[in-house]
Amino acid sequence: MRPFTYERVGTALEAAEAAARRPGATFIAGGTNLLDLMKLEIEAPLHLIDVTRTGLGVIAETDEGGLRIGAMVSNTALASDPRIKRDYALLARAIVAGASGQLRNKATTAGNLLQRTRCSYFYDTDQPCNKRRPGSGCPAVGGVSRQLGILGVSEHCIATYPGDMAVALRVLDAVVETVRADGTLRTIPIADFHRLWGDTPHIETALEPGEVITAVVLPAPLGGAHLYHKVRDRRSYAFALVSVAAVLDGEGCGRFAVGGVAPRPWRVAEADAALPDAAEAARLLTQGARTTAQNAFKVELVARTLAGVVAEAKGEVA
Amino acid sequence: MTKPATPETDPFALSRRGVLASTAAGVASGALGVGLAAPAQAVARRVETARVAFTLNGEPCDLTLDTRTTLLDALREHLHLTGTKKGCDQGQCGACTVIVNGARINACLSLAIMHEGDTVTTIEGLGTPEDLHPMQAAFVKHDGYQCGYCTPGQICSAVSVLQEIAAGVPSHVTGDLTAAMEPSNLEMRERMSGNICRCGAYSNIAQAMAEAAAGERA
Amino acid sequence: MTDIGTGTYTILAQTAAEVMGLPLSAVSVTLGDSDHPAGPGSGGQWGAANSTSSVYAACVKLRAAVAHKLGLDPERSDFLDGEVRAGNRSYPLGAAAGGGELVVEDTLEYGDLDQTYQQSTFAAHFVEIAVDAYTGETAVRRMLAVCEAGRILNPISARSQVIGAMTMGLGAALTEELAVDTRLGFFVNHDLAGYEVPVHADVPHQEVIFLDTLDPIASPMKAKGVGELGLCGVGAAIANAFYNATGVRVRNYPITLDKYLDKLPPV
Ligand SMILES: Cc1cc2nc3c(=O)[nH]c(=O)nc-3n(C[C@H](O)[C@H](O)[C@H](O)COP(=O)(O)OP(=O)(O)OC[C@H]3O[C@@H](n4cnc5c(N)ncnc54)[C@H](O)[C@@H]3O)c2cc1C
Ligand code: SF4
Repeated sequence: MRPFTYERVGTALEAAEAAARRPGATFIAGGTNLLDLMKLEIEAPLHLIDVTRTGLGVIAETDEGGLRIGAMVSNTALASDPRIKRDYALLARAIVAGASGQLRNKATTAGNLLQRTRCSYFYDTDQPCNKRRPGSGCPAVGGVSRQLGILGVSEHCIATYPGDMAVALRVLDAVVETVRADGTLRTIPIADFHRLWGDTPHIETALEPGEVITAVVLPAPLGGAHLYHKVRDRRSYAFALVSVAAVLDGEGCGRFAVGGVAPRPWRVAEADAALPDAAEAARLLTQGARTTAQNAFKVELVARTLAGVVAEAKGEVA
Repeated sequence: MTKPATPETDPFALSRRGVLASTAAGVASGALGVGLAAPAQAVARRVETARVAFTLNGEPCDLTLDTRTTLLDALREHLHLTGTKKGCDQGQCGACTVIVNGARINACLSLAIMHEGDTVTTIEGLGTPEDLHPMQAAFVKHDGYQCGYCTPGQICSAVSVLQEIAAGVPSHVTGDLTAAMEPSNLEMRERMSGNICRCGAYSNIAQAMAEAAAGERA
Repeated sequence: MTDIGTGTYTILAQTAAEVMGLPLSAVSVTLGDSDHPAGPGSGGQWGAANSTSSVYAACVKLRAAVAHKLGLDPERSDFLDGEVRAGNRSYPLGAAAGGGELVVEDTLEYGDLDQTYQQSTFAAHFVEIAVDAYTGETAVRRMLAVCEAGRILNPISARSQVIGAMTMGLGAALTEELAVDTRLGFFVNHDLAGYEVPVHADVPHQEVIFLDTLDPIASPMKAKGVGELGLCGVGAAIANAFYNATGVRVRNYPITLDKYLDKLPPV
């Protein structure tokens, strides 16, 4: 790990101001992704701004009947909140499908949204990688790509956004709230938060430099069955091959998004509209998939997982 | 400890920084754009230190540390509590599990200096050979280990898992999220999945936990 | 000889304690020192049977040396409760050393035993698995191993060996695959997030049954080993159960769903 200076700030605005003041600064929350990357020297900030004590650890009700989740609410606290368990079960289910109990205790709402890809080539500084070192090439395209993306990818990068929580947020139409150093606030719909790679895979989100996430806002609850099905190679503590998040009625109609396949949670309006025909919905969702020999199975896996989720909503399977 | 690299001591220092600067630029977009503003060669990094005070196993402790020191390294290398183990150092195995402010975490993915004012409990703080914590005693009784390397982490996790179940923290296998949760075999096994045991002592650990859970409820 | 958690210290101490008529706490075992006589080593499932047998041999020799020192007939001496007894005479065991040390060493060689007898251990592995008809995810529900390995030197540590091996077998069958990028000579999944060894949730239930037998030929302790017994067969049992569940034969481990998804019945 490269040396860095450290400061603790008391508010989100102070964090943004500190970042504007200090070149090479990065925010640290739970640290469960950032420190891993710093140890590997994939990230090497000069200055760390500790945002954990900024008073953003609360979940409050909004005037619109939804919830405002502070950026520093831990994944465990979020999944355990009685309102989340009752009204946004999808979110709780997605969170507890991710990582481990220890990591979820530490991981924050903002940090989880900003976790970086788990592409193995990205994770090894001896390998080229367009995301880590722009212009160096993408060895994953013709390499070991079983885990990697099939939608929204480009010849420059086929990595996925690996997280679970955001897949649920996408179905719930959450909005990310931020503050910038000049004090201006911004809201970014979750649909626009993670960028597609295109020819700039090193640019991963819609955040501006130094912009601080303050909260994630959930609209009023959606009734129906809240289902999250994550398919992975082992039963726990593994990233998704494919995950399906859905809120469906008893006929299997509603909305869904898919994780583990793209630079962002993947949701397609026409696919939602095709429900309860799971095969058609999956076909519409995966239209234009760009697969490798190793990850082509994900197309079929999306279809089968969605079919299972729809069947569950209709009470056809337990 | 790592010495700061200078062009004199490290022939690769300059080129390394060049690489890192472009890395930082990449990161920037994910989080902050500031890497771009830092011209590579201008970045002379010095080892930075900071002071931190927290309560460790009931005792106050006060340290001045290289800012890079993880909680795990602070415990093992500076406070000489070697019960907490370094397995992967990347949050992928759970051997470093300790309990901070009542919640289990991976000590390897946490900076020591971020624990100002916290209450840290390690395996040494749970019990002693003369006065074992009930979970430690249950592990001994049920042979919940072979080589023992993951054991301190397993035990810290196991203690926390029972508390999490009692507190209504849901897991991936919880049926009804809003109902009271039970320390069933499946619940415990799912919740313990962040602690890898390559010797494969899982079933013995589950038995130990079941006994400790029954003891707590009795 | 080493003990990496397999229980060697315990079974060696048990052997010495039993032969010398001492409580377990009176025996100390030291291993892994080049000053010691060469041991069999831990591996190939022979460590336990051989090292306990050599301790047994050395203890028999030690008993003779003790009896001799005390002027007793070794054939007619009983070693019990820390004493040596013959007829109506009894001495504390330590008396033989007279305040010093009594050291013996013995060697065990099996000659052509392995030419004349096949000395296998035997196990039957049973697994119940569930395959999700939609997603194809495979989960092991229950595992049982029934093992025959001669005298079981310590039922607790032997069982621990076997459940550990069953867990490793599960990983080999279902999740553990080393991915290599042959263009770059790069081990792609070189960490514990990428190379997936089984976690607690993969192993919901295990049982082990040891058949209570002695093998009078294999070793003086009538024991064989259990180190590998718990592993061999687990992968095949899982693959067969998978075939029973799906009708699909997957012939290369690990059995991951990308290898069979397109062969499952449509949904
Ligand atoms: C072994 C392992 C397995 C995992 N498995 C899963 C899994 O299955 N599913 C899953 O979803 N996740 C998984 N994770 C990832 C985990 O969820 C993330 O590491 C975690 O959510 C990150 O949160 P954090 O608070 O620790 O972030 P940090 O590491 O502190 O920060 C991450 C990024 O967010 C930035 N940041 C933090 N707060 C703010 C803010 N307020 N404003 C702007 N930027 C900010 C930081 O600068 C940094 O770039 C796994 C992690 C590990 C180590
Ligand atoms: S897929 Fe993306 S992250 Fe992976 S090596 Fe290619 S450019 Fe890098």
